[in-house]
Amino acid sequence: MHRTAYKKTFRILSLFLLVELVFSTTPVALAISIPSASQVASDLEQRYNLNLGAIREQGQQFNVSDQKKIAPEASVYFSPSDPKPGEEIMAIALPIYFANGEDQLYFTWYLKRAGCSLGQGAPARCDLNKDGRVTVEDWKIEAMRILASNNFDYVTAFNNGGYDSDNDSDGYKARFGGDNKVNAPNYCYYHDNASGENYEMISGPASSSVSFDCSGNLQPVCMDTNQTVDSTGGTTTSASGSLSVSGYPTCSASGATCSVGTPCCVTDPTNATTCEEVLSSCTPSTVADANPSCQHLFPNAPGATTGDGAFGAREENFWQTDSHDPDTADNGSKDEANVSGLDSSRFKWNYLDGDMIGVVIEGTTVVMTKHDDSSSMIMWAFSNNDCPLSNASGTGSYSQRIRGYSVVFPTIKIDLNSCLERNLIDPTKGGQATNLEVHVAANPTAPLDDMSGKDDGDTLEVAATVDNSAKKLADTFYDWKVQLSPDGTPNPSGNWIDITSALNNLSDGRKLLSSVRGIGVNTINLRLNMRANDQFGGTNPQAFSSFLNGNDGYLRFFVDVRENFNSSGAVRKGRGSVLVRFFTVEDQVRAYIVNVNGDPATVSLSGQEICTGTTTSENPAQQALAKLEAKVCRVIENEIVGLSVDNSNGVYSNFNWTINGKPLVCNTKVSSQCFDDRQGNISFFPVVGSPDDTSTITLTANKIDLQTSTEKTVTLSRVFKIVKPTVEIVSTDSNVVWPKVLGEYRDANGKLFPDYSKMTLQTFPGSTVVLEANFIPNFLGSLLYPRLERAWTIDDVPIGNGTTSQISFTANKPDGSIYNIAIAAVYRPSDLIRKALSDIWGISVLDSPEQYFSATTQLEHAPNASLARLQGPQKYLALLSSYLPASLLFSLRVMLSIGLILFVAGLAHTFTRVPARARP
Amino acid sequence: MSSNFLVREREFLVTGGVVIAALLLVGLTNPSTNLNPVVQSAIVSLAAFLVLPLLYCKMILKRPWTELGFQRGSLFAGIGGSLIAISAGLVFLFGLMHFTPLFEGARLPVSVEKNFFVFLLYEVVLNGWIALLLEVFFRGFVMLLWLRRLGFLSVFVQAALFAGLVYETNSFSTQMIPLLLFSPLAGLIAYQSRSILASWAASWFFLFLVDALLLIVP
Repeated sequence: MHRTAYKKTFRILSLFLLVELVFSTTPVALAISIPSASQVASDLEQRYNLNLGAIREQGQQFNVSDQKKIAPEASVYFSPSDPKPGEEIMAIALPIYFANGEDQLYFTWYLKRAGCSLGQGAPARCDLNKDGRVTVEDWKIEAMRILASNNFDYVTAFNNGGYDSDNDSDGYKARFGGDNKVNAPNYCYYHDNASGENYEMISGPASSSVSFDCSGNLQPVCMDTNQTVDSTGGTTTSASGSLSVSGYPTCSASGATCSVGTPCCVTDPTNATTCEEVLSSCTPSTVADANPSCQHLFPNAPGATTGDGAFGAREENFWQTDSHDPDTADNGSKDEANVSGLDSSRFKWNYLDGDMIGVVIEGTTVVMTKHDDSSSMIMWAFSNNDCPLSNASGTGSYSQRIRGYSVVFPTIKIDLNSCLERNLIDPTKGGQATNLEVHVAANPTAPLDDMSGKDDGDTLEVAATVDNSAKKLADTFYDWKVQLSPDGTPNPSGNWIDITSALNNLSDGRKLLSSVRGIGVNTINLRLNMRANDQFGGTNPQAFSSFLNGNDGYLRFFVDVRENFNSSGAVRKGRGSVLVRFFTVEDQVRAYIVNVNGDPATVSLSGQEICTGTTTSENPAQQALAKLEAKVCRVIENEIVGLSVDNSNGVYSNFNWTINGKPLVCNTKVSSQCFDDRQGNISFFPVVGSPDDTSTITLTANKIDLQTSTEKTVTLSRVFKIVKPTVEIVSTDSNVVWPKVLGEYRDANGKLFPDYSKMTLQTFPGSTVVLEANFIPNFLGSLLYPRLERAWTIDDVPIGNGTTSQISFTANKPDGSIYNIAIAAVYRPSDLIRKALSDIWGISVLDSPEQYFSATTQLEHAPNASLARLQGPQKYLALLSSYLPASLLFSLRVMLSIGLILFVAGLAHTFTRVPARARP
Repeated sequence: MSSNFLVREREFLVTGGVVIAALLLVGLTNPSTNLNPVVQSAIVSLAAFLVLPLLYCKMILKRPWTELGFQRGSLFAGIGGSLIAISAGLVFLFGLMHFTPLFEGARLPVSVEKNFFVFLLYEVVLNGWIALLLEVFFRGFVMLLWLRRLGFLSVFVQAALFAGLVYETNSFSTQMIPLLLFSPLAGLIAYQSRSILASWAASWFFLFLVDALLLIVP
């Protein structure tokens, strides 16, 4: 024994010496140390570029990921979105996050009619199951009865004894979680939207749960030694020995256990640093205690259960379905399946005022349970997705040992019917597309405001259209507002100024705005004749000019549109607006005919202004056209137009002319009135292009305000439109020759408007007719022969020598005669114009040929024209005779002839009679 | 000499003037656009062929209307002449219908063909009226009053005047053929019987027979 101990000691010493010999020669710096776990983790982080912060982030998210599970939801839409009382409306439910197909889900619709609030005291019509009070069951019955019966003639069937028997075998056995959940375990869950927790629904005591044996108010937790992370990434155990909460204990038959740390009881689980009491024992709650169970939310007939596979005559009678038709709703499902809401994502009923609708959808979610089987969570989705935890009777948990581990299941006892009321939806409110879609458009888009006082500004027409209107225009109310601002931004400096009322309260009584408020007022007109000193701005009025940015400004037109539906005051509203940038015009670019001189040719203003906006014609149509020409000057191809801005007081300088955005240069080669080193207030342009082409002349110049001596840049513009030369024959005196009245137009108000012929004129027989050729463009009429030849004919007989724009003749044909009057005109650009086009702008003379145009008209004697010209007693007799029957007048005429014959015959007899004394 | 001629022949000349004036009135009256042409013709014919002869005879010549043939006259000549004239007229008519294309496609108005009551009105009122007008003017006024002195020749003169009027007024038509055909025959009856009542009855009956013939013969 002693010898054996010696041997053992020797072996240990030998081993020690051997180790000492091996390592005694190695430098200390190269010694291998034993790595700590934190050093290894740190090395791994660095080797694989793992960021500790990111890992912590992921870990923290992982910790709560169990609470981020997706729960099923439902959305409900209505068609139409703006139901009228009595109108059929369809509610469409869209479920999401269910694992079943839509045709496998149960849609339990419920319909609350006006006055059918929960509780007692509601009208009898609301208590459909006759239990003496209104419950959500009644709401469900109201809806599902409509759905299942499909307007079946229940009363007739009942009176005919249709419910004495039932032989249509229309029972349906509903399955929890959807029609396709055959033989699947049923675990129904409630999802708490706030915490994200999924509770298993139970029918046992609400408070049944695992209980830990902590005394007093102490809470069970798991606690572990506090560790900190040092600079190297390693963890260091707290020197003070303080603890922190590492989790929560689980309870099993062997007692409370923790995966990390030890079970403790503490007062404050959040801030606990010490284990106040060691937790050693607990009492687990079992499945049997909790008794998980599922219940459909289907409505039931009194004394019957929907979805139990039996649908007898009593139930048929209650649901008002056809007891001899297994599919009363004709939707492919049995009657009991329809009452169960299988595949009933659409519900159609006749909307009444005050109706509110809801739906709850039963199905199986994609979230799996923790049970040791194939089950997924069965849940319900509500139309407003609103079912708070506060509706529950209580929550708890039970523990179940699964595959060797104790698994805790949170439980809840809740009646989901309690959530139905808060999930009612008003089809006419909230999230539905009930607003009117209003579009507003203005024309013209860039109007001109005439500040000169001539009131020649554009008339701006603003019209509102409603895309989804349900009412006629006559039933729609419009309320317009007009606002003014220097710029078009939503919040300009000085803000938008409401000028609606001011536009019709201008200084000299001018009213520029049409009616802006009323039923059917979908269009307003604003005459843009606002002047610089017009005052806008309510209590702090400012001059119109102060709202301008240079020579332009912005108008904003707002319109509120409202449709009223019934006396209850239901309305649909909409609002629209349009922004219009307008330009002010005070000075105008004037247009002139040009003179051509010299070789090479140059041009100069002739002094004859065109497109002045005035005319000598008394014809209203001509006057209107003349005004139009002031805005859009009509010119003909291959003319040369002179342009000028009045600068007699020298307020303008630094001119820049452009045509359609391109420079328009005028130098001494063009005209002696221009300059080589700068642009002046005069310019010229050749009219080239095709008919209907427009050219916009823009002049930008600096203008000195003579009052303030400040200078600002102004822009003046003028639009020219190329037209084909045309001519029409008009009367110079509408009292002598007038357009024939063809008939009358009747407008919507019954007002009559005469329809004048454009081809036929009328006159009195014997009148001196003076007709005039009215040329377009107007200045053509001032051109002399041969630049403009005017060949008149009357009944194909040439009249005049082709030089005059007027003809005169006496209408002396018999009554009812017609004159065919024609004028054939030839416009010939002068040789000088053609030379100028060629010399200055390089336009070939071959491109400026003569142009032919003509017009014809008929002149006829007006019916009863002779009568109209008579005066005094003649007119009285003529009028009298005009009222006598034609047959009487003709007879009188013949009888007078007979009388005349007899009279003459009598005279002849008398004068040829032999005197008595001369007789033999 | 000439004044004696005027005095001696004043009645002949003045009556001739009235006849010509009446014919001109019928032929040259400007139609009014405001009145149905048929109504205008009826008014003018009534005035010129009936009213004018009656008034002229009574007021200017101061003679009874018997001068115009409004009398019974010779019954033998009237009835016998009528029978002969109608027979002769039918023979001529038969010849025209079978040997000339004048009556090809000739038909009465549809309403007359289809409705017997209208047919009766047509025959009694219209044909009777037309026959009366023609008898009074051409047989009574022209032949018996104005051209009495021409004797038998007056029959053909009045017939020629009637034919001339038809020609000048472009009134020739199938319906006018019986009137033209019977004009000299009616003149013969009136000339022999000195009564236009007989010739009126004969003309009326002849026109009725012609219309009946047109109605019967396809």
